Amino acid sequence: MTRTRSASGVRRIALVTSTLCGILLVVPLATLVLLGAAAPQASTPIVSASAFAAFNSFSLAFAVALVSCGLGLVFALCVVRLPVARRKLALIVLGIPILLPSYLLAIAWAPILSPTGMVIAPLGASPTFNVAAFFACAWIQSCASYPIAMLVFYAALLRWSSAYDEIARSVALPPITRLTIKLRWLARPGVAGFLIIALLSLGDFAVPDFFGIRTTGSEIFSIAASYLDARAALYASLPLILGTMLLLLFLAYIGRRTWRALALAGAPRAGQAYRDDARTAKYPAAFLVASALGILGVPLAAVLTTLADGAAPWMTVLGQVIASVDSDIIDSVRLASLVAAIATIPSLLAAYASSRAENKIDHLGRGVAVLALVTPIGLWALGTSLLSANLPFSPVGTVGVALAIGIGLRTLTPSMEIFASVFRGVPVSHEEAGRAAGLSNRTIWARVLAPQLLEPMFVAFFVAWVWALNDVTVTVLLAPPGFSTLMLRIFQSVHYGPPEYLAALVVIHITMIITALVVTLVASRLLRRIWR
Amino acid sequence: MSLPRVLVVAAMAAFGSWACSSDRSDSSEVIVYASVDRAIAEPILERFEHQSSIKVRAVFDTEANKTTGLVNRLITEASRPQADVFWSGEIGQTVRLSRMGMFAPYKQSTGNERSTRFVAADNSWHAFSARARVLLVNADQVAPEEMPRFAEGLVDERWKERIAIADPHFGTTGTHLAALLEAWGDERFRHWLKGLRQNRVRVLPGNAQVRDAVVSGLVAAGFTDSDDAAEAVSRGAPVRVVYLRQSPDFGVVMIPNTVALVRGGPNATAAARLVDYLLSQDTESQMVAIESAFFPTRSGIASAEAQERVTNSDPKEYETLGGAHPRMLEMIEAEWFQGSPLSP
Repeated sequence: MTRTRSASGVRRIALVTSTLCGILLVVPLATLVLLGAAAPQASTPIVSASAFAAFNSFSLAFAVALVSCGLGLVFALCVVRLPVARRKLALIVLGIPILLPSYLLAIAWAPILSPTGMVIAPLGASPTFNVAAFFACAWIQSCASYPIAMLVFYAALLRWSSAYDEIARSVALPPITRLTIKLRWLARPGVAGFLIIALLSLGDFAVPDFFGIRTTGSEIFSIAASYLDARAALYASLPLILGTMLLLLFLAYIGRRTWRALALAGAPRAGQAYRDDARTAKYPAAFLVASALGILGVPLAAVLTTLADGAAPWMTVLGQVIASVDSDIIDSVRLASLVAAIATIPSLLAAYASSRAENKIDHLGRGVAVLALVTPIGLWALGTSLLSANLPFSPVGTVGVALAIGIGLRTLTPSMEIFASVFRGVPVSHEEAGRAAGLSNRTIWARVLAPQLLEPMFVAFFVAWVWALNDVTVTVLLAPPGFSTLMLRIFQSVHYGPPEYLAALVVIHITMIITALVVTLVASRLLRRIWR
Repeated sequence: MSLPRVLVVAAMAAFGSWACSSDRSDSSEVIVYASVDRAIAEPILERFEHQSSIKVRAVFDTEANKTTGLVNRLITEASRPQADVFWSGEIGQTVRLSRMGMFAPYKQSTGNERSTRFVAADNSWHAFSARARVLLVNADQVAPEEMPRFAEGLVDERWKERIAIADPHFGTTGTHLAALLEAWGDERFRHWLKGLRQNRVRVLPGNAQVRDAVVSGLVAAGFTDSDDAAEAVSRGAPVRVVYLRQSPDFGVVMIPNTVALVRGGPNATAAARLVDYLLSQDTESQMVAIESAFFPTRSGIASAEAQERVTNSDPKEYETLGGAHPRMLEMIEAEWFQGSPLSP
């Protein structure tokens, strides 16, 4: 019996691996052959055909997902070995890159990763334009994405009971078998993390655009922002939509446990398996500090060095730049706050409705939200732009309703997932008990649900806030006249002006995100005390 | 409800109302769509704001889709114009829009001492502060004796895999190639395109990327604008700026900024004042002072040498570029891109 299960497990792993390879490698290759393309971009200087763009997109997504999952698994294994008190801090520090826009990371890493950068140039290596750009792109996107894999693996590891280890030791299972059992435990969330990262990478346009690699995402953005041509944008999106649908079908095949693995908000409290297992904490702590310094510290050091290379002292430059972009900072905060307000409340209600509904509706509602998230961002921005152009009213105020709604709708999905995970943890029986005791719905919400929702509300608000702060694509198309965010200024001035000016903008943006993170953590703690 | 809870709710309400509030209290404002580099346009617009007390609300384009994005936005909004003024960093697309009747004729209130070459026959657009299309050369890779004499000579095999150009669907590169098509005719232009393709010319998203590719040595030379080239020189990069004639019968291509009043724009009076300001000697002097990247369209601002360069530049007639531009794109599609979805 055991042998049969084991064989079935091996077959399943083989099926999963081959399907993934099929989607991410064979599909683009087949596209190339079908469209009569001769070679990938590296050997063809004049390229803009969508087949090449699709090939670049899928191979980049594959590389990014692979590297991210590797990094994420290693970090998750280290974090769970830390004492419980330090785990949250480690997760926050290692998770910071996901808060930073990949475009900003590209600017920060560029002095190091470009062919003439401070690392590549002294080595005397002379990678070709495309090879260098591909590896730079893959690394930067991985830096921005690995926290997803880390959190997914971390959530899975928390559910692993230390009793399993003890049983395995007591029956003297060989180490290789114990390792296989653990890997199978991690396989499902691993595949889920892999797919989510691949989807995000497929949709990203900014980093490939920065390094001059033509991917489907950058092509769609180019068509959307330049030609406002919905038909051409849709045509260019087809390889991406096809690949995304296959990935989503595969995600659905993996099943409900995938979604549970992605219920990140509840993850830190989900299990206590490693509570006492802090014997080897010193080594992971040192490793984690070194890694955080490498992934966060190296690009930040490059940015600060660039800032210090300017003619004036860097604090003076920073002060001057802040004074000149103060209106952008205010606009950024206003837009982000408006989007967060728009996204948080509806996602809370939608998550409540879906979590208390029948299964089919639950799946349907969440599926629609996921589709909104995985629609190519350029296509989404263009659609919103064309729709808003035909609205019976003009953009209201300096922020613009269309812009706020355009970004806000996309942020519904992560917010909804956060709330859904909370509602899953609140049994319906609690509410029924309240009703049976004669409490009104308002009282049940205030006394039963609200105390449990405060922390997730802050998390959801913060996620939407940062999302809006980092947006470029939708803002480019929908920003009303006279409105400009800091990211938009960075995007528009990346090729101009002194490098220290750009470095100062990057430092300001990163400082805003870190400040918001600290404010959220402090406010969340304070409010929890007040509400009690 | 306890006091702390009331304070929390009040703070959240105040924050929300601030985020949603509008500061559109200015009685006089003008909306400008500007495809000029933001770093250049913004100080000029701020100065106008300061002098006139008219609030300027600007929409800027990005490097990669320069001008084309705003042009298509203007076309989309034609039935309900949002912009008052279109300030373009080049002229080809402006002429195209003018032919579509997007602009209202405007005669300057102050004297116009510029050549008639820089004003539309129907006064629908006005040109000022030109940039030259130059060949930026990496001095470490190209010896002085190797320098090409004409752009036409870049089809020579010794330039194989050594040349870059920005995507001609956008910005000044499009206008540059449209001018070549107009001057050379179909066959000669097509032959040049084929030669560049055989030489595996690298097509990059924008002129700034061409500049960066030359500076980093990824290519030996590339076509770019004089302001991008000046930026590379100011950084101390190992480059030379070549004001390259296109062929023995066609000189250095000069592409001016253009400004036009959008027909039916909501703030016509303020818009006219902004157009006057942009066409003033003051603005042109300000732009010419930027690292010698811009050339004046009127005398008495820059050196005699710079003035001479403008006088001898091509094309002599800008009005025809509007018709050449779509034909140029068709030929580019056929010779270089082979049916890419980027076709406009």
